[in-house]
Amino acid sequence: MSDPRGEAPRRTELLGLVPSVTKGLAQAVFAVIAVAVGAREISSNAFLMVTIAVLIVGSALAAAFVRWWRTEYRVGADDIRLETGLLSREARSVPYERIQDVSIAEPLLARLLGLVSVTFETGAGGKDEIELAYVTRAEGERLRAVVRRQRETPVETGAAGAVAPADAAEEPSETLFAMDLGRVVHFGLFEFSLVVLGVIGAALQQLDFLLPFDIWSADFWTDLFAVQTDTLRHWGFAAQIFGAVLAAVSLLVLGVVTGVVRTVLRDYDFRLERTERGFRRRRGLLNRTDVVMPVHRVQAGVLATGLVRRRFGWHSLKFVSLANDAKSASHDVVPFAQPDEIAPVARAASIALPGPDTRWHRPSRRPWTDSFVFFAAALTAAGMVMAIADVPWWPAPLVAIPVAGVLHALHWLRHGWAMDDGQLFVRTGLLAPVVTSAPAIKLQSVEIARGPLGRLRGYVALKCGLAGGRLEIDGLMHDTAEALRQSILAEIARVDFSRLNTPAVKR
Amino acid sequence: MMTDELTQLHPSHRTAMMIEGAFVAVPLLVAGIVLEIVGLLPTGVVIVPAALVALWCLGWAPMRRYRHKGFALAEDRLRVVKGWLFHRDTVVPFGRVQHIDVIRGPVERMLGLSTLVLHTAGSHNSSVALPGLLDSDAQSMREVIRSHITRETEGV
Repeated sequence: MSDPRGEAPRRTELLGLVPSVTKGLAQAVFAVIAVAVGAREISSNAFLMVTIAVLIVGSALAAAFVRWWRTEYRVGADDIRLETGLLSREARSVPYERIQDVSIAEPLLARLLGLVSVTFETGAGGKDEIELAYVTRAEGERLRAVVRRQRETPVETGAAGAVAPADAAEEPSETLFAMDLGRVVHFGLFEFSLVVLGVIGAALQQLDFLLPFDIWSADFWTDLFAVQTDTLRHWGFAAQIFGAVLAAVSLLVLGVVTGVVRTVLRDYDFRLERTERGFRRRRGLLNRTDVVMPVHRVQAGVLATGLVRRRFGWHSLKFVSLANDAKSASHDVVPFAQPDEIAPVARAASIALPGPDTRWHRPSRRPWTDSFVFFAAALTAAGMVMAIADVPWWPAPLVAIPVAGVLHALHWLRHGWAMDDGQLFVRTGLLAPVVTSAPAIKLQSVEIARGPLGRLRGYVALKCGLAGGRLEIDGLMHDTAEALRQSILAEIARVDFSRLNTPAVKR
Repeated sequence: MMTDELTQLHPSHRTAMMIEGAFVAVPLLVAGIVLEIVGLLPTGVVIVPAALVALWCLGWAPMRRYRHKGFALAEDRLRVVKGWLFHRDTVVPFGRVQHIDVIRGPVERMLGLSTLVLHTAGSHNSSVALPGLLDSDAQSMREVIRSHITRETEGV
């Protein structure tokens, strides 16, 4: 520890093998079942089956152990190193300056054992990040503290490993947003989801193949169905309608319940705090996660809502940050709140939100018109071909044309952009508006792109380089796009010379 | 500033594109001639389309692509323009450049050319390439951009 070059290499917790192996075992069990069912001869021979099971489970255990044994990490004076590999050693070094977020996750099993998994997010996107699974909670807090301390005083060396644990993690913090159970359940009511049906369907399909027992045979089902239809016929027409309504209602209830359960599991005891180092978000019932997002890494905000919840004024805010390209580690900072609760969070990240006095501009109607014309032509052609081939339902594609028209019109109506006081707002969405708001100074490049159709009809798309996200405005006329680009670039240039440009980015 | 005249790329870039086109065109022509000599198909069925494609690769496409490429180096930004059917007009402020590459492929090296690549942190357009620069030009542009970044970092 006294070595100024950093501390001795360590391994993750041996106990951490339990959660990681369990995950592997779940898959192994499926493999065993699949093998057993796939080859009847094996399933009839108990000894062979046990051997195979032991082999599969044993190899999973051995692999996990070797992986653990050969993985070492080291907290150095100016980087964190991770060495992995049995035969070919791979050493990765991540300098503290490149670490953007340190997130701590506690999946259920690990949590019971007092372990956490620590991810150092570098913005390299998913694969190249260092993940330590699993270390003790104290070690997780210590690693986070070390990284923070290093980020604060990057020049200073030594004492890197000697950072006192836990106490450094306690910082004065201010709660920006929190959701109690009532709010989370309320949120869940809007998160209608029929994913359960899909899961059940998929599982049945799997089991269908795997378990050729009698209850899955056609006879079983035909019998069952015959009885049902018989009863139904007995009940008469009204009862059939009643049955249909009952089915629809139960589907609805199932969807709502699923939504509530999923939301409570994910967002239980949601709290967002403003700490010295950035925004800290904790949430989750069984799998509790703890994510810190440095303020200056926030590139833009996405304000979204839903078709129904919009009627009640519920919105959500998400950050776009350097460290979340295409990764599931979402930066939902306010999942479900009224606008006046969102405003302070956005202000803390210096992201402006569109207000009533925002001057929205609409894009040109032409791209949508063109797209609709193509759709209509394709649908008409399909309808004609079907009519000639005498396919039943041939007018269906023709009926779809007005639907496509309405959707296109709605989509166009939703689109808008505004440039106000150095903030670029882009509104998209079909059923409910989604507004992306980015300070122009955070944009990386500005491109005007024009495809073949745009060349004929004079419209272009403005595509902005945004770290960790997308920002595009479709269907601008060329002059508008040029003017907008000028004002964005002017904003960037102004900042480069006069305003502080987030010092930590440059280091 | 955006009305700046675009600078054309070095004419050798056209040659480079033609040579790259030749990698497609020559095998195509050879195959066409061989099939023509074997005479399995009626005269001209193979060689005419092959010749047209070869002509496109060797002549028309490089000429047109060259005509529509250009760049403008302003005090604090680089603008790169390319494409006719799919037109792209990109501006990268130097203040947003993360690192700079100067790349030389085999064909480019033969002709003394380089490609300058600017990398930004953006997810869209994370690298903007400007091909067809003379070696010396590419290097001096790199120095200009680099010094701009250094100056700015020190200024903060």
